[in-house]
Amino acid sequence: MILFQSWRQNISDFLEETGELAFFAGRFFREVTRRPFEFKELLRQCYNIGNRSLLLVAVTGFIIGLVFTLQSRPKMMELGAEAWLPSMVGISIVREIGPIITALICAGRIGSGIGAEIGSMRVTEQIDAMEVSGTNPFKYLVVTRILATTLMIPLLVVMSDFVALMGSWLVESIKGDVSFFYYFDEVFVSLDFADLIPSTVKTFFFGFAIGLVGCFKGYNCKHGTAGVGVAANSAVVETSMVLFIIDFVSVLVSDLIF
Amino acid sequence: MAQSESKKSVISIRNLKKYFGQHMVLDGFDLDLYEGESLVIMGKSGSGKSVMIKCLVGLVPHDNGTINIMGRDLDLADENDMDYIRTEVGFLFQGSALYDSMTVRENLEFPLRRHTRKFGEIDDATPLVLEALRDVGLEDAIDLMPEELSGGMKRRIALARTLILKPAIILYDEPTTGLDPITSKEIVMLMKRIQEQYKTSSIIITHDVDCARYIADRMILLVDGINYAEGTFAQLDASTDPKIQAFFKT
Amino acid sequence: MEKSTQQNIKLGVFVITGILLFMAGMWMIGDKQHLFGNMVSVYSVFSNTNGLREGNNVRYSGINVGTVRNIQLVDDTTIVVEMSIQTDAVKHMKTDAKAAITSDGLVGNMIVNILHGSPKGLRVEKGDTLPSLSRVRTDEMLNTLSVTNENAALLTAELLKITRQISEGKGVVGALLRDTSITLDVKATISQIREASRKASVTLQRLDQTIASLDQKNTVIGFLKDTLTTNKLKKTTQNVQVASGQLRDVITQLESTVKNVNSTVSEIRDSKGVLHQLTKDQKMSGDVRQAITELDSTLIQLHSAGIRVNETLEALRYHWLLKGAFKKMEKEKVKE
Repeated sequence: MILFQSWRQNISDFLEETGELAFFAGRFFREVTRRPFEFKELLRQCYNIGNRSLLLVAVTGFIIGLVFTLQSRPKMMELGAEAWLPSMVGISIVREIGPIITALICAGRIGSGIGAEIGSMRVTEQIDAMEVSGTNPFKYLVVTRILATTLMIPLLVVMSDFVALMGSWLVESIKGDVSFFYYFDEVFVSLDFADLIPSTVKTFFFGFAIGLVGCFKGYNCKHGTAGVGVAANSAVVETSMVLFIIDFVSVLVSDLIF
Repeated sequence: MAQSESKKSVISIRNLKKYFGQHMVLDGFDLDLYEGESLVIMGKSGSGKSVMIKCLVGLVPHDNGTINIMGRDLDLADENDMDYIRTEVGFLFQGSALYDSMTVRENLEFPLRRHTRKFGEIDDATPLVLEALRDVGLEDAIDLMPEELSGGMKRRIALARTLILKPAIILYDEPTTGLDPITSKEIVMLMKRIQEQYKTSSIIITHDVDCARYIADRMILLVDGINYAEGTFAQLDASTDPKIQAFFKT
Repeated sequence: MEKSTQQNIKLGVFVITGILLFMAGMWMIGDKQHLFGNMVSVYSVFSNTNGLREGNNVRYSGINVGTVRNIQLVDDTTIVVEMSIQTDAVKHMKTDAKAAITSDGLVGNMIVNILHGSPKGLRVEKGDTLPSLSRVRTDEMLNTLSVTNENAALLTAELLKITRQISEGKGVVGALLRDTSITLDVKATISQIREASRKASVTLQRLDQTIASLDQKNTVIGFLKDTLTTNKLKKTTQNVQVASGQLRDVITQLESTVKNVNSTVSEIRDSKGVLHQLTKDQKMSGDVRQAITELDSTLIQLHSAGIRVNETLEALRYHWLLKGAFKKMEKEKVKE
């Protein structure tokens, strides 16, 4: 009975949070079009989210490309399909690995950062202070961050893709003596707009989800400083879940369109 | 109350009610703040003091009653009225609430650049920032980040941030909480000096008796969601009511 | 303020780099699909596109020159394929060039392969329709192959039967292969032919020598060549000729006698009278046969006697006593 009640509680909590998140997203869309625009803060957030994540994303992407090629190379050679390696790695990275790995890393770094930052601002009344200072904190904190993640994640993904392909090429050039131009030629011959466009479009959604969930968790942070930790943690967990759902839906939708 | 009647009321609260779910916090609270006076509100933790002053600036919506600030009804206030109220009513938050990501200068400039009604668009805010910092004695801290400041300094910077808009009313939410007695004393003296310098009216929420004794022109004891007792520090201190005595004996 | 300006510059660099990378990627993909540059639409009509898709490559002389822009099903056997081809490549195409849908490798993508036209053909212009070539699909190819295979199997079975018969010695070929005596005969024949040819060559050699020796006087022919002797011999020969003419008459008479005897004998054989009966009678016939044999031997003796008479006459002609008589005889003969 208790178990049942706790299940019921969990389900209703989940539904309630989903509803609140939907309202939060709705508020974002209302506020984003309304003046005044916090342009300076948007640039600052873009810098924080874009430039400051670049190194982490690039290093991860490079290693992913390196390891992915190293791992698949022996099997491909066994099958005599060594020549297909650039195509396979290219398609995998551009379609899936690049976007999802970058998004997950950003969920960890940016999502949790936003959750913790806004959460602590909420707890230390900085948000209230902002409001009495004649600033709409939702606009200033939430809209700018969601916009920044939405715009920056795709760029980070593009860069991560590029660096991952560089890592892959490095392995190929060392082990297979493949030239840079040949490698990238092979990659782009196998790629299609149907690979690049949907995977780029979905990164905007990834960015939006990372910003939205992070801000939502932080903005609704409760229970003092402990709540900040909870906000940061749940921001990462829930963002990751949302990312996979978006990824799944995007595959379905892009299959329908392309 | 009779002694204050001649003075102009800047804030007037009538029958203020606030619930959090089933939990009643304010149950018909009445208050009048007169021009140039310092009103200390004392109450136990969770008695609704902070909620009450947050209702005053619209941070927390109230469920019932009327709030009138400088002739403007909060419930009927449009964006302009809200902007006016928030410019004229300064708020010093409990934990200072300095923006962590900004320097002291940016913290002070923030309200100045937001509330353009009073000073217009300012190209160079530095003189105003320095003036506010001079008032609190921290001109050297202009380019520091909040994390580099001590608790007392943060409180002063927060006060400077409140002062920069030259408000008519300042609301202090537990200004001495978390500070050692010496720093508390310094802050209270600073508040007093500001009060005299700018002729501001202020509501000070505290449970620091020393603070109340030093600064209060008048006191209200908030018990069970209503103003249980009202009077000068001496009057209340002399009261034999055990509920009132409970505040002063701790 | 300085700090934020610096940040904005860095952000700008970041954003521009990202956008440039993305644009480069888009451009590279577009370039590979021939979306940029001057393209011309050329059409071709197929009855089956074999899974050709929009965006597939178009090849001319093995070079990727464009992509399939649009595939439109007009009716159940008419599919119009619009190809977007580089202007530079179209310049070299002729209107009788044929478009064929082939696969890029055995399991690869489908491509449109434009085959060379004749040099006499007109230049392909924008919007032209190229004739199509129905392509032999891999499965069709495999079908044909399987029929060929079946035929091959039948043939092999037949061959197997024949070889078995041969090895068992049946039929002419089998007999030839199996009978060793024929082989030996053939061998013997060949060796005899070889021997004969050897002998022939020896004979020829001898003949050669003989002919060479004819010119020498001390041989018979050499002697004949001497003219004095020749005249003498001529005379002698003429005498002998006269004698032999007379002898010939004798012989002719003898021959007619023999003929008469012969006809008498055959009359006796064929007649159904007493004589026939006689011949039928074994004893009688034996007697008759003996008589005939005796008659035969008589005739042979007569014949040899004739020959001896002839020889004697010949010899007489050369005798000096009778020479004149012979000559007279010959003269009279000439007069007659």
